[in-house]
Amino acid sequence: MITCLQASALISRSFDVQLGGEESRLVEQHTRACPACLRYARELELIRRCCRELVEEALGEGGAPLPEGSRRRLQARLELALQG
Amino acid sequence: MPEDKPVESNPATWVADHGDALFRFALLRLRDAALAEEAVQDTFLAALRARERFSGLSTERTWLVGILKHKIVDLIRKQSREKPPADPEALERIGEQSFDGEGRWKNGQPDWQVDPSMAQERSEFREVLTECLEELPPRQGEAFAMRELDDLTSEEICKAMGITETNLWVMLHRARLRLRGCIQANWSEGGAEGGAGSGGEGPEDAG
Ligand SMILES: [Zn+2]
Repeated sequence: MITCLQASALISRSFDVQLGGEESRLVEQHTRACPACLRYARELELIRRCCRELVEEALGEGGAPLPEGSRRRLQARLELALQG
Repeated sequence: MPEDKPVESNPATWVADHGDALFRFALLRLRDAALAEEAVQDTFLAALRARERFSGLSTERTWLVGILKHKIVDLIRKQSREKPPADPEALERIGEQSFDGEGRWKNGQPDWQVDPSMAQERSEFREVLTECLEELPPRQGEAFAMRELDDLTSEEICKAMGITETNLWVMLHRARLRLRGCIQANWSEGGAEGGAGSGGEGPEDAG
């Protein structure tokens, strides 16, 4: 069986690419016997979910508004570009 | 007259309609108000030049956010040329902190016990996560944010950062280990105290 060090690297990689068949099998076999690595996978999932929520929060309505100075500068710059 | 007439984009109202959201996203990514403003300005100017390419099939917000993500990557790329590369020994120490000599997790790492159904708890957890994202070494932080906040593919990140896919995976793996360590250190102190538990799993000595 692979070590936790190897399993954790594969678990991390599974969040970026589709693992190959043999790699998936090794991770599955390892996590069945290793609660620590299973927990690591769940923690990475939670981190991913919370990152998405951070983005949704930023892009949704009702968050902190643009600072007034920035708003004025952006509007002025855009108007200048529209005229030109 | 066709029913699905494409939505027209009106630049005169971009700041009012999208300024807040674009700025918040840029701030989340860049952690600097002046840079965030610069990214939003670059976005509006680029969008103005490419206005005829807005098809109206996506929302105006989605279109502008897509441009903003590229502008942020451009800004980061410009900055990272000025930053020294990550210290490889410092990165190695992360592995040493997490695993023993036989490649097993070190003991004593508590369960996070975040209850996904508790909005308040999740919100506090996101705060800890945000702080920990800032603690990542610059290159790792950039790679991680491009992956998890911008939702870019490995290929796109490698191109933006000028690294190989193997380098990227190592970088992301280390970023995740470091992030996990930081969350464990900061979350177990303040959050999830006495939470109805998933119960102790005991020492992490399996594997
Ligand atoms: Zn393990």
